[in-house]
Amino acid sequence: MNLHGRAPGGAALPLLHWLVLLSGLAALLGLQIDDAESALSIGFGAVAGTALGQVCAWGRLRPWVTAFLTANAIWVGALVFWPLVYDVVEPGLILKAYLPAVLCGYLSLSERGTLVAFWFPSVPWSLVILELDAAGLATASSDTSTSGAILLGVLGLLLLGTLWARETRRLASWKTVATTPLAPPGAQTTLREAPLRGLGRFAAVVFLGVTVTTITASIAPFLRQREQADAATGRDPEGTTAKAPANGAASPTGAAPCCPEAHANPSKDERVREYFDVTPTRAPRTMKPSLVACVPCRDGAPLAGSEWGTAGTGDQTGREQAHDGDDGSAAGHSRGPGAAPTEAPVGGLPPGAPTHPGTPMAAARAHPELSTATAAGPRPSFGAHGSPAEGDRRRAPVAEAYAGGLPLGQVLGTSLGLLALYLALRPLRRWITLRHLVKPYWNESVGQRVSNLWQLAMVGLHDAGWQTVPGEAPSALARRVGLEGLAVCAAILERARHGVRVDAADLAAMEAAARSVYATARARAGWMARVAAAWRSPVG
Amino acid sequence: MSFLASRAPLQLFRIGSLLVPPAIAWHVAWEGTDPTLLTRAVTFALGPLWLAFTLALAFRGVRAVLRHRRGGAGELTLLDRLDVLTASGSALSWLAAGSLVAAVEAGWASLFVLGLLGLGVLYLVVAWTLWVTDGDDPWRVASLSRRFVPEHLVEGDEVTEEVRLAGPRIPIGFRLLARGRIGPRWSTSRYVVDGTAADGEVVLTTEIGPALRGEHQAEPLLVWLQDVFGLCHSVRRRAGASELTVLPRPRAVRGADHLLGPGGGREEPRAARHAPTEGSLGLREYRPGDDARRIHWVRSQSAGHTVVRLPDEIPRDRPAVRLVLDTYLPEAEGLACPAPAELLDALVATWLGVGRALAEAGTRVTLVSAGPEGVEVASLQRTVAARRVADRLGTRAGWQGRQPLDRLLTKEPALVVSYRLQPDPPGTGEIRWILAREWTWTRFDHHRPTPSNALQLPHALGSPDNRWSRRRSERVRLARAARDHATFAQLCGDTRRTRAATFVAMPADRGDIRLEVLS
Repeated sequence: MNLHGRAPGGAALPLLHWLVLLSGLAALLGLQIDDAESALSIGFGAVAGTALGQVCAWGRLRPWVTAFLTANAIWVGALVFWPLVYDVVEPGLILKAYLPAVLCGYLSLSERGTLVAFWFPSVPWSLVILELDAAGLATASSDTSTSGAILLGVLGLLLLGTLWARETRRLASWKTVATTPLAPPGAQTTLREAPLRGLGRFAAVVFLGVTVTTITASIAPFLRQREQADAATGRDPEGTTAKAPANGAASPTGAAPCCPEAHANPSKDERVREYFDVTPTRAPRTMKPSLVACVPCRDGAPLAGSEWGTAGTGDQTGREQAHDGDDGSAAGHSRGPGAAPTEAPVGGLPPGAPTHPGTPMAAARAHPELSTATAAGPRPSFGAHGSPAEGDRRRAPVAEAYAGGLPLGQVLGTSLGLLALYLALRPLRRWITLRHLVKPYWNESVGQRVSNLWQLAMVGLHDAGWQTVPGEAPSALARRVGLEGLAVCAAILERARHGVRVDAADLAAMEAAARSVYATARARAGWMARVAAAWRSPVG
Repeated sequence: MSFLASRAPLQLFRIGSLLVPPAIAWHVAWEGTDPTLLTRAVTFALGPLWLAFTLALAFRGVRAVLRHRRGGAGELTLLDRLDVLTASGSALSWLAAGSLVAAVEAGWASLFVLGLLGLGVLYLVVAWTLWVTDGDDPWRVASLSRRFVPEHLVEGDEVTEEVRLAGPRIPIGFRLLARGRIGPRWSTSRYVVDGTAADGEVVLTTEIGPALRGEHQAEPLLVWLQDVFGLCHSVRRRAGASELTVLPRPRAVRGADHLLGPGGGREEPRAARHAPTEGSLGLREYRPGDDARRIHWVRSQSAGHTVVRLPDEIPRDRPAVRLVLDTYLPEAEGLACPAPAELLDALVATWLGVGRALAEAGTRVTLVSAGPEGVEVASLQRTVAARRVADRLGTRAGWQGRQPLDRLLTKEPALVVSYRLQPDPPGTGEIRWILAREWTWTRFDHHRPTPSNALQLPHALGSPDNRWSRRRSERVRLARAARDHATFAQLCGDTRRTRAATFVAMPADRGDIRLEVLS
């Protein structure tokens, strides 16, 4: 298969698609590290589907053929791989990833389906951004939320890059493929450039980056929960007063506050949803649970001790609870077995208090050093994925991992410092080079001096935007440019090249002419171009 | 041209694509039964944005109308000035709006992000396009010159098109695109110039293939600006009209000696070829100075005096010939297929080739054809200047409806190079016909669509020519070409059955032409 013939414009577009997809999956895997089953299923379906879709697109198969292959690959893949992976993957999740991945992989090479094709690779990104944002809210960490906003900005830039690659590929195809006879793509010879063009492009890139960042930064807050504002009023997003006091709030009796209900408002999904209904389930390594003492309540009133036994089995493990939370039916840690009302004071637990694996009490008992009250007021809830406190508990490690684990400031600062150093050294390098061209630091032959002075004239011409054409004779260049003195330089250079003797008088004339050309060309370019030229490479 | 057949519906759709999809998305978000911050973001971001762009388009429309009234609009219409979206931009607008609508229904964050980013990017690019490409861009201070290399072209030579751009104004974030061709049978050249050439000077070169005979008025290049994301474009301008003259390539004609019968020229007598035993017919008594080798010893013995043989010469039957090119076919100009041009090239090549062959044989040849200004006549001799004149006639030859064949003929005997056998026009001298048959010199494979099958698209995925609309228009074009070719074949049908002394020009190897007697 002639890939060049089938894919004009190179492989930038498909590779960019893979970059977006795999980086998103990698970040998602980082969040889903303890739920390997889901993560593997999504990753497997996404990679297989994207590969199949792009192969079909490379082979320019028609959509119905692609659909046929996609459908048949399902049962073939099931026959081949199922015995190997039946206990580590979820078939439903694989299919849920595989089908859109095929569609988006196929459309990634299409002319007008770029936005649709970009959707599936952006889903893992979106999940990560949501989690980072939620984690930032959970821990009141602005760093995490900022990381989410930065990721959103990166996603926006990747969309721009995808659009750019798509258009580059389309133009390459436009130049070479048509139903009517086409002339082969020709050559472009630049004779002269606008000297400040590079500066303008740099400014445009900066402007674009700032604009995209602004747009994405303005979008990012909207991904948070609307009850972020409502939380301060103690009202749920529907505007109704929560039946159960939030974690840490006092119970109506004035004793220990009620533990948060798992379904304080089960009718509403408050979390911004996503295509994949997954949330990070990483086991808390350094969990900071909410350790405010609470009592089980019903309708805002503490339950009697005899009622507790009916509230929950109490034998759930943390993992089970997490899964229950995912299903939106978690009993949460507020439902203990038949135990006395919890009286966990700040700073420690009373002896004999009920402990259950995975509950804040158990964690507090296991890690007394963590038994500090976290005045966790009303938090944004994550709807179907558990109670607000449950969501906070699960996101705390994510927040910690990303808040402390992404040294964006240091990386950015170091990069900017190195960039500044590099930019500062460029004028110095140019000055040293030009100085050598005019007055060599060491003795050089006459021929080399002539070459140096010609190079000096060329530097001036390049600063003014003139470009040399491969194979163009110096005298032809001198005629084209029309600058006074360049003809002298060209004549002496050609003499030197042809072995005709060049004496001191010629060298002096060459030096004067080269200096004149250098100065005249730069004077014509203008002061801004002269300043910008300080960062140009003097050679080449 | 009717409204539907013009570009106006497409332009209206694209202009609408800038305003309608965001309005739909805004309406859905506004009417959403479960408003969230995201839907509110859509509502409050899209609403003002939509209003701003509606006003911007209206402003541009008013400016275009005023310019049109002042007479400065040129060939551009109001829709041309308002139509800034490309097909990709239009698709992005609809898809982003659809993404937002789906996001309102499904609540997926990725759809919200995609929709807002898509529309944000689109509006950003549209705003930049409206800002920087209003007016006559990219030709405010630019110049475009176009020429073909080499300057003196002969049919079949490789032609290089050279386009020189000086000072084009290419705004940042844009590319300059150009496309054009010399004529329908020529390859189309397409150029993409990056922004690095802005305000500079670049030379674009491309090989446009073998030269085709004729005096061509090269179609001007279509030049426009397009952003690097392929979402918007500027108005399209035409520039770089040029001329190109391609002389016919001389082609050897085999069998031209049969055209004038078995005679020869005065300076180059040719003996009749009889059976070897028949001997020569001319005999006379020996005269002093006769070549002794011509003495017929047997006859001399029987005659009693010396008898010499004389070469048996047949005098030339036509010391001068009028070679006429018949290009009278008024219906050929409206045919949308390459067959007429192909057949005309063959006719011209045969006409000039026969003329050269006869002139080389010593015949005085007078070339006659119908030119733009009337009947064109040139005497073809063995001089270079005369050949150039003949080549000029061949270059200018084209299908025409002004000069019927009878106006080209006189009472002199003539050889007529034509595309069909037809009755001799009344009042003319003896005519011999040389026919270039349509089915011999034209090809039907032009009308075959691009190879494709039920499993694969005709071009690589992402190619604009894969679009259904383009494939459909291409099918329509090919169907029309095939239909016109059939019509042309009918037009080239003989109007007389057969006649003696008619020759047919056939292609031979090495590009030569072979004349065969039509039996």
